[in-house]
Amino acid sequence: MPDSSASRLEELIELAKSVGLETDQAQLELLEEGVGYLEEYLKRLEAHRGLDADPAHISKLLNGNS
Amino acid sequence: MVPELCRLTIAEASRLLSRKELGVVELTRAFLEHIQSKNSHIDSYIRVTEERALEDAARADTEIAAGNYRGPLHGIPIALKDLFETADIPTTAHSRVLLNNIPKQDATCVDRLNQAGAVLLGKLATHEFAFGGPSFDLPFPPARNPWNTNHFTGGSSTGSGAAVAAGLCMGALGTDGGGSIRIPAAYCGITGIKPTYGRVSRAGVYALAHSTDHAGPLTWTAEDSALILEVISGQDSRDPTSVNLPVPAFSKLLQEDLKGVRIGVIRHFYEEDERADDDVISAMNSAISVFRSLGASVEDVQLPPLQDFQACCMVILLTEAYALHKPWLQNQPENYGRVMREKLILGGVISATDYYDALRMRVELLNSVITLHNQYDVLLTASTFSSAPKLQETKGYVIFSRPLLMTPFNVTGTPAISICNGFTERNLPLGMQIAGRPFDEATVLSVAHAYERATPWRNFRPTLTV
Repeated sequence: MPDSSASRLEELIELAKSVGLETDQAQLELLEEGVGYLEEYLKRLEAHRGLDADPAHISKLLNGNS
Repeated sequence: MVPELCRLTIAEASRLLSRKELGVVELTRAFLEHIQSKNSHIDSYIRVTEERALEDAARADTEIAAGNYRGPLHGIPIALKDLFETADIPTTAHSRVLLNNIPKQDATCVDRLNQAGAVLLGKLATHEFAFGGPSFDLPFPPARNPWNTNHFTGGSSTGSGAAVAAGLCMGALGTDGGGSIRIPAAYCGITGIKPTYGRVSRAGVYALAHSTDHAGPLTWTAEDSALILEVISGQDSRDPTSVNLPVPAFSKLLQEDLKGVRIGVIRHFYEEDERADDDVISAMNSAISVFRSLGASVEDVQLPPLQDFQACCMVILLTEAYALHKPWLQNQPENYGRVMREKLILGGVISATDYYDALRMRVELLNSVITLHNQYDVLLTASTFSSAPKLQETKGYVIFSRPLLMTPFNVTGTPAISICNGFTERNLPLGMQIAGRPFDEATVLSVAHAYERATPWRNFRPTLTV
């Protein structure tokens, strides 16, 4: 597991404990699975980084004023 | 079996009511009896407002008899996902967090339905705050699919999908932050439209994620969705994201032939990016033939991969949902179900930079869809990769295991409807989405209506077998 995933998982486990979730083996596996999905999403965002997109343009695009 | 009066569409019932060939109290009593008889099979209602319904109905009868017919929703029995605030009626979001919450004011959508003379039958099941479910540790059980009660309704407007399909109301309101109107519409074999972001006020509706959430109707037909949408749409001073644009009379703009309509099929979403079940692909191919026979031109089109839309949507949704719930989650975690907590905390480990990157990606993705609409009036794709799974197959993070075909239109905010386009061999419904240009719900509804009129699927109702 890459360092970023390991630290994200650690953070997620702490968060799980703070909201009263058990941290038994099954729960840990689920949280690890969740971090896996997040990492996949973030990899896709990473591929788009550098594009000159301004989030403020969204309402203009949606309202046909682009 | 669904009683005859409960099989009427809103359009059919409103014609009978306006001609005084049917009474509102008679119609309302038929629904209340059907709910009494069948709701325990599917748990679609978490609260039936019988007294209120009969009061609404008696008032509507008096008004109609006096010649004061308000319009097509006057006397129509409807129900609300329990995220819509109702004055003096508990609104729980299906959660212990709000178990004792009795709002003082109606959500704007609800107020507009009241003004139109609709009859409120009750409040409907949802995933906890539109996210935590299906779950068995909440104050109310999860709704079940009326086509087969071992199966999932789709979420999160679970009760809305189940109740409309089973004939326990004529129409319902739902919310859609990542597919939550359209998934239950698809799995329950009905029609559900997510309008353009800003078309319908979300004031008084508990949010999952402010920038991906929409409110809209679930009904038996596209015509009925048009009738509800034209009532609930329009700018609202209580919701600054609502847009000041004229609201077309959607139900009067419906067409039955599609000559000149250009349809782009986003086939790669359900055949290449992730492969749908064979019966889904077969139903899509049959639907394309129907659209061609109705005069539309149909071509395959290309968008960024579905997984890009999913990544963008989920990073935004998870971050916003966590931020919204954080105060309650920290102060009263024990009042949330386990599924909700497991999902929410994922948003707690996404950074501000990641969220901002998702917002920037969203502009690129919306641009790609808007560009396609220069050539195509509507875009067509499947609603789900399969028919409704069994309830026990929906545990854990299964929602994240495959991209959702709905998320592209939550990212873009453009309108999208899910309608029934067939059934599996095991008699479970299948669905497809028709998506349109911003604020062009009229074309989306018209294409859906033409398809429904040309195909037999609206003739079949669930028999509530277990």
